[in-house]
Amino acid sequence: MYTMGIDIGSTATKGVIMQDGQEIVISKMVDVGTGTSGVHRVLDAILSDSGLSLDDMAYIIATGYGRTNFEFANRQMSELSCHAKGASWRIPEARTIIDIGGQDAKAIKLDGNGGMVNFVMNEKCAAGTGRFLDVMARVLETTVDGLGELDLRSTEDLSITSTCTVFAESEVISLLSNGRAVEDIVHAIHESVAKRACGLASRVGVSDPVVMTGGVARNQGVVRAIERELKREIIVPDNPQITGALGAALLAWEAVK
Amino acid sequence: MGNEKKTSKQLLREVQANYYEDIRQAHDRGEKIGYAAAQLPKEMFECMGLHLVYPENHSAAVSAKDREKAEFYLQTAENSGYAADLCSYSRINLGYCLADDPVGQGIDVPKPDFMVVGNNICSMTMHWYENLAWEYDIPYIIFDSPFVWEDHVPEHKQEYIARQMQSIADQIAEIAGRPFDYDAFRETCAISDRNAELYHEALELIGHDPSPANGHDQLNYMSLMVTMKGSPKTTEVLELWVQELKDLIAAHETTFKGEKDETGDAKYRVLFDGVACWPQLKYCNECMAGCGCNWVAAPYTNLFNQRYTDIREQAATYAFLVCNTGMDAWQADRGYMIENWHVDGILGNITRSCKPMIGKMPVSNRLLSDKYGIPSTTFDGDQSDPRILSKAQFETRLQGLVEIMEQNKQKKAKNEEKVD
Repeated sequence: MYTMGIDIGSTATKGVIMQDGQEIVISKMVDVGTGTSGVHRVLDAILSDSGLSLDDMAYIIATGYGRTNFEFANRQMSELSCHAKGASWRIPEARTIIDIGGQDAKAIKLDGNGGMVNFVMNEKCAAGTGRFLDVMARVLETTVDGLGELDLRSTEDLSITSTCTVFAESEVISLLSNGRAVEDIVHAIHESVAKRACGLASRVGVSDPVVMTGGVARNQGVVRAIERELKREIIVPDNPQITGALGAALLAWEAVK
Repeated sequence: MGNEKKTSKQLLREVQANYYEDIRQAHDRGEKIGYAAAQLPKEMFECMGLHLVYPENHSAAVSAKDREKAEFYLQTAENSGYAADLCSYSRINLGYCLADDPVGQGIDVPKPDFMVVGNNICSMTMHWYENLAWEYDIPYIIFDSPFVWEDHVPEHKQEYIARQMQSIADQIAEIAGRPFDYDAFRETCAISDRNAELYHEALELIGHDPSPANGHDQLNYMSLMVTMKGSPKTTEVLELWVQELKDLIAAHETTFKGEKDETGDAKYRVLFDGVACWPQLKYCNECMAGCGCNWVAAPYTNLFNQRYTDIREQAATYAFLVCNTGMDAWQADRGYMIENWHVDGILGNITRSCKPMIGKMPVSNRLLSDKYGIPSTTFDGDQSDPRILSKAQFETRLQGLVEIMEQNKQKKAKNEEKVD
């Protein structure tokens, strides 16, 4: 039996097809999210590459900010439950999840069986999320994927203190104007993101093991900064960005098994 | 058709509409109009025939009825130098007074002849009212309440407040142009006490499991407890409402329209903490009902069921408001509702421009979640600034809360099956 999970985020769309809730048949991602062609591009890709059709899907769950606009879904679920399910499937002993997506960050407390106990999400604005890193990468004339590598070469501690993305961007520009090394500025940006994510985690309560999911988990600089801040190891599953879609496919299977 | 008995909701609408009309007519007759904070011994004014407008209530009504106009008043206040971080009730009211541009919809109010304020709900309110008192050069009556960190109001604090109230009686006499009428005061207090008893009873009935009503109704009737607590008209509406709730319980019916469980109750019984998000009340209510959530408990509405029969009791009551007390009293209120009204989860509105209502909320939610094993979440909605709420953020948090409540219900059902 095949089930599909599709995670339509603010900056990326991810799709997963699973067989019998046991095996990932295919997963795909494109770097554009809700309201774009990304949704149909991902759908076309996972169906054509797997040789399956929508009729083969026993159940489809959509998640992410664009979840209500996906016409083929049998059900919509929050990305909170989907990340909890997906992360627990990959790391069954996971007790805390930190997920940083395009426009929100969340910390989820798990019950040890893949269920959520509670969660805390970013407040007031999208500071410290994936979009924040997008803006900073552009100012530094690099890519989001390049930030992790640059961070490794940092030698001096700097500080970015503004919560507001625009003001933080000004801070970065000032540091550049003062001749500070790009690597050190990147390191400071990652520290800034980590502090906010760890604030959420502390509020929900941190229990080991801590798993990080979402697109920002691909950035090893942020992961290392969170490890330093929480003083513990952070586990990042392979391809962390598809965790929500994976969880959706698993929940779809649970709905019909 | 004309002889059909009115429902409490119909009666409520009439009384609400008449309230604003009565104020305008009183002003036209040259009678004195005061602007008053919501948590004060309002019976002292009502009994002397002085009419009170409640700017917090009025700002809420403006933002609920006309978001564009609310934004205009907010912008007017901000353009005049009031910071956007200040209470949005104050900014709407200050903008309304400064703009001199009516809101319409039957809720316009005259300019004040005197101001009455206390620091028991918020110290910022003092400055808001003071500014209007300066603007219009009118009397400014202050009710000063010391913070109460004890589990009761100590004798010396009651004494301090009660003596002020004696002095306030003299100020009222001066404004009214006649001696303070203690007999009328006692009569008004008796009506007010009866109304508080009825409102309290209604809230307890909504907390009944299964609930006979949409919790959202609490807010509609609450307006009477703010604006007309000492009025027999309020008694008439509340007596009818309580009877309707009792009848619904007896008939195993509910006015809640959302998804229900097998008992006929809402699927999820929610405690809604903080001030209502007035500009998006309908949207929030529809989202909640749409996923089976009924806010059977709302500590905010429970702020308006205080009972007292004399000045001494009034002094203690208005000093012991949750905004003026410590975490123990805050937790006790919510703990009572969670336990007795069978709450499945907590949804809190982080009204950033109302610090007294949110200061304790994050820690309180964590403590309550741990103690009662229920999930909690918050969203940024504000109380009357329509520019704050992000619908996508609200919906994700609400859905996450619902999914945990559902999971908890399934776990409970499985455990009960095992026991059987």
